[in-house]
Amino acid sequence: MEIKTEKRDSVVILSVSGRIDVNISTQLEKEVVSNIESNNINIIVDCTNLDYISSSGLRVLLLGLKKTTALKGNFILCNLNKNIAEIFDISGFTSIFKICENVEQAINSLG
Amino acid sequence: METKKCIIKNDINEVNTLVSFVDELAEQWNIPMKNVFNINLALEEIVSNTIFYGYSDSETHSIEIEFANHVDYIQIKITDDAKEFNPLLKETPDDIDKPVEERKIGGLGIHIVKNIMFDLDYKRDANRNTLLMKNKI
Repeated sequence: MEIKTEKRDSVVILSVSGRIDVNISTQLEKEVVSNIESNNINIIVDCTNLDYISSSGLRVLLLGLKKTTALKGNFILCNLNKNIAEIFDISGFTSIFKICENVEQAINSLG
Repeated sequence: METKKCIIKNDINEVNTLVSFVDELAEQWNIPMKNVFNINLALEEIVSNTIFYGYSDSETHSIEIEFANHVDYIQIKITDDAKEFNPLLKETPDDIDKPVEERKIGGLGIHIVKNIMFDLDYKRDANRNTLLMKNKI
């Protein structure tokens, strides 16, 4: 897994690529938590190049959503591939996350 | 029907060994990408659970994963000598349809496995757990 972080105004975009599995999910957790602790509470996770995610990664995404929601921020996902979208459905994540088609749409949704 | 077996140790880094094994198998057996994704996911959830919670000693243990290539499904048999654990008895999380504030962190792994695999069957025999599951091609 690789994470690229980009800040655009008050929004942080995390572009994750490769696999988020049990051995790597703590890296993503550190990145998410350190952003929120630095008061970056509007986070977009761009999954364009994300091939795989297991429950250990889903756990981190839910943690990010809970923490940002509690601070009146946003945690938006975009560009999910079909396999990952299906796991989101099974996990009941589709109804709790804001999921956008692409980064621009995600930024615009923040108004 | 062809079968292949992969034996790993109870070390969480062995999940990577398993991924490489499944990748090779996918090439040999022409398994579609979507199935490879779901097979890897189910294996990671079950095996990581066993490695994290299945052993109370610090010894090295083996976990055996056998794949069988059927016409329209791949069957996977996971055998280990961890303590008795029937994942099929684990209840579905009761907060899946709840708003974010009421969602608990974690507990999704086995729920996902039950949804992406079929004909799951568990047996405890001679101090060993055996879990059978199938993935439809």
